[in-house]
Amino acid sequence: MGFCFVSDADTLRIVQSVAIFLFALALLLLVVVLLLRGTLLLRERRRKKFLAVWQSILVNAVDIATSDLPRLERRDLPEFLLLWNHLQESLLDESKDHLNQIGKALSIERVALRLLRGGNLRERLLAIVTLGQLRERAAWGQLLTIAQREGALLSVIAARALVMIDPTKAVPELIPLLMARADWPASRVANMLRIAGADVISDQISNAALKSTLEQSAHTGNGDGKPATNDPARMVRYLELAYNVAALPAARTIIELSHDPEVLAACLRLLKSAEDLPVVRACLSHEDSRVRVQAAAALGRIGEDDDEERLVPLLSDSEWWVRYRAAQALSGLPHMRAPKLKTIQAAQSDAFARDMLAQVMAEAQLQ
Amino acid sequence: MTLVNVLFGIECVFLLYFLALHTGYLSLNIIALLTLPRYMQSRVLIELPQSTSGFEMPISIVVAAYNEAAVIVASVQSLLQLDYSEFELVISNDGSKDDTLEVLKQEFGLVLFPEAYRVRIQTAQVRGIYVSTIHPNLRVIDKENGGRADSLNAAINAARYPLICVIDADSVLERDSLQRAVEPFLEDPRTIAVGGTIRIANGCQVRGGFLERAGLPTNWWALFQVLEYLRAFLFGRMGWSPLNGLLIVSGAFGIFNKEIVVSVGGYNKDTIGEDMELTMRLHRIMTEKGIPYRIVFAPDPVCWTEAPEDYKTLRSQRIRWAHGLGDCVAINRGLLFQRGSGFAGWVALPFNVVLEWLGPIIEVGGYVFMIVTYLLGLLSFSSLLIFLLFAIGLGMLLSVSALLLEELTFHTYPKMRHLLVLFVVALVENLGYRQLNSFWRFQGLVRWIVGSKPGWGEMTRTATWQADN
Repeated sequence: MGFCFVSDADTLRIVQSVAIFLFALALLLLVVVLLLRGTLLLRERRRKKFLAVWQSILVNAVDIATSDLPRLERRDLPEFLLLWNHLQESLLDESKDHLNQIGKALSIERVALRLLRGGNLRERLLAIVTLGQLRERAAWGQLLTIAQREGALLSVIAARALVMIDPTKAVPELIPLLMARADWPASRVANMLRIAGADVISDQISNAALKSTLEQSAHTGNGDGKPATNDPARMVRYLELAYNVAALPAARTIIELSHDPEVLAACLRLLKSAEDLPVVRACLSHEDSRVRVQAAAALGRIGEDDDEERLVPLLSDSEWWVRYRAAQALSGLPHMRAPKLKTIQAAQSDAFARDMLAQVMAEAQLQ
Repeated sequence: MTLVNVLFGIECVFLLYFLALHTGYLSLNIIALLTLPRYMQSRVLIELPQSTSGFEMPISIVVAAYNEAAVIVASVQSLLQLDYSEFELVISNDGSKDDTLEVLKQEFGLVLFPEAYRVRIQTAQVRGIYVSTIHPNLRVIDKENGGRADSLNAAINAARYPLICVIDADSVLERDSLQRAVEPFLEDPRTIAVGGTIRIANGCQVRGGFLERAGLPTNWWALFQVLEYLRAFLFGRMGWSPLNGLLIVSGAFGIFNKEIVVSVGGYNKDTIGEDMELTMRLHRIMTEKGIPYRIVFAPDPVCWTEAPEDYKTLRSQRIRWAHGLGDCVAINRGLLFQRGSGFAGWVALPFNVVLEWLGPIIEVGGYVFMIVTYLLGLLSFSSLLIFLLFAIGLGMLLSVSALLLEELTFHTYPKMRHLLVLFVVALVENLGYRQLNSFWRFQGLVRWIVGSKPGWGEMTRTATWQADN
């Protein structure tokens, strides 16, 4: 019968063996899947039992101190850390003391230190968060090493833990890292800086933003471009978390020093005082639309009646966001009322300007 | 050259094709197996309460709606309840012939709004823009019919935030989906697009716009698709993602950097595979410009969608998909072996062209050739068996391995019975369903070659998984 690679008998034998092998492999995979599910169900059952005991203890401990604790099984430790951290992350600082006492009573700092050294990624992350919540000074060195050497996720979480342990000591250590680590997500960094508090970060973050700008200027002056890791705009954004008394002088100096549109735009976001009007007004005609947007937005906060003549031309800007912010700023000027806005609108020959004013007036009505 | 030599050569081509196909999938499977556990471990922080810092990236959710009067209110209500610090919802009513706009107006107190709409991407004419008097973050664009891509482009034009999340009007997101999907943008500034996992909602219980209980459908067509989607997302996309070779961010749920999407011209309205086309174009243009970028698959933000439950609708969908793939490849042929395109241009696209797009010719041809030559007595029974073993046996193994990946990660289907059903489906789908799929893809390819454009095809929605409220 027909052609084939090898003799029919040989092939049939091979085919039979391979078929059995494949089917056995498929069955084996099924067994593995079922075993995994079985383990999961057991874990779930155990978790429910664990929660039945510990959830109420920990929730009650938020209000009332307790020293009468049941024994915590070793295998329940990861679940305990998750629950304990879950509560910790939901609470304000002053409510955390009793939970920390329970944590100490159960020696979870030792568990966390062990997981920090030898756990998988999940366990290490949980350990770092735990050590931060416990304000465990013994972990300082290890956490600092992680913050300096590990990938983005572990390092930024370790940095946060350091801030929780001792913000005053941590911030000077972390500022150089903050400047260097472009891979640290801004939202996590901002969260960390908020925990540290404006008291601690204001001067240091202002100095860092200035230093970063100066470094950039020096590099630009030397003609070797912007160093990859230095991003003054990122540092300037964090000035929003500092006290105005420190952030504003820094922002003003940076505006004088920097020609980077991103940096200028970030600085303009910070200006909230009439004394900055000359700088803001000068930026309205900047060639980069990001700067014009922020300058118009700044005039929306601090503009005076005579800024009307500066804002009206921006209603015909080529960039939508500049037109929008200019229209908002116009409508927000101290003595601007709807009839006057309508007069300005009618006087515009540019349809884009008229449309934008119509939108902003409608938004005001909706509000 | 004798007839036997010719037949032997042809058989070798078929066998090599299946070997390459399964080896390719097996490699993706291994990559997924290696990367998923670490990914899952990193998600522990999302299980803890998140405090907002004011530095999160705000998102514009854009939804194209065409004749969605029956589901749009529930969809919008659930989208408005998503857990995310700052987002807006832009619905684009694409000239619906039913009451889509009317029900939206009524339910959300929409009023006509003189928005200074900016046309950054050309679209069919916008008739009006409405804002909600109840939810300030909800806007509706009413426009002439122009198709899904056109409709999404209109919504993108109106979007105000730096990230856009594209989802289907009938999709169901999990409450924290946005938070999970945005993570890759935070972790790596080079990220320009993130695709989430799509799962089949048939058989599940949805209440108030959110998934209440995962389940399996009883309809076999839908069951096959449950497994198909597991395969496609868990090891298909999870395998390509670490290599930056992901060629599709599904239109049912994806997040994009808006400025990048606008800079490449938005969705292409001349193709029916607009989501894949956009993803391929992003690869091509970013490579051309020499801008470092990442297109990422995030497996845990999940979007549930209804799958067709009848032969006719499913066939029409698959023919459309194959046709769309043809368009995508033709439009973005410049990506093929493009210098600097990495895995996307050198591995993923050739893989898709040879094994996914042109593959059905070999696959369907292979089955027909083997059966005909066997019936004519030109092929031995053992050779036929070898062929079937490659084509079917390895397919079964891959399907079952998708089940293993699912169990290692998400354990979405809660009952043991679900796993056993899926195991049976993993075996059975290789005995007809996959071959049928190949035939539909073959039809799609033929239609693409002869230039016959398939229509959108109306999806018959049963929505039995949607509870009243």
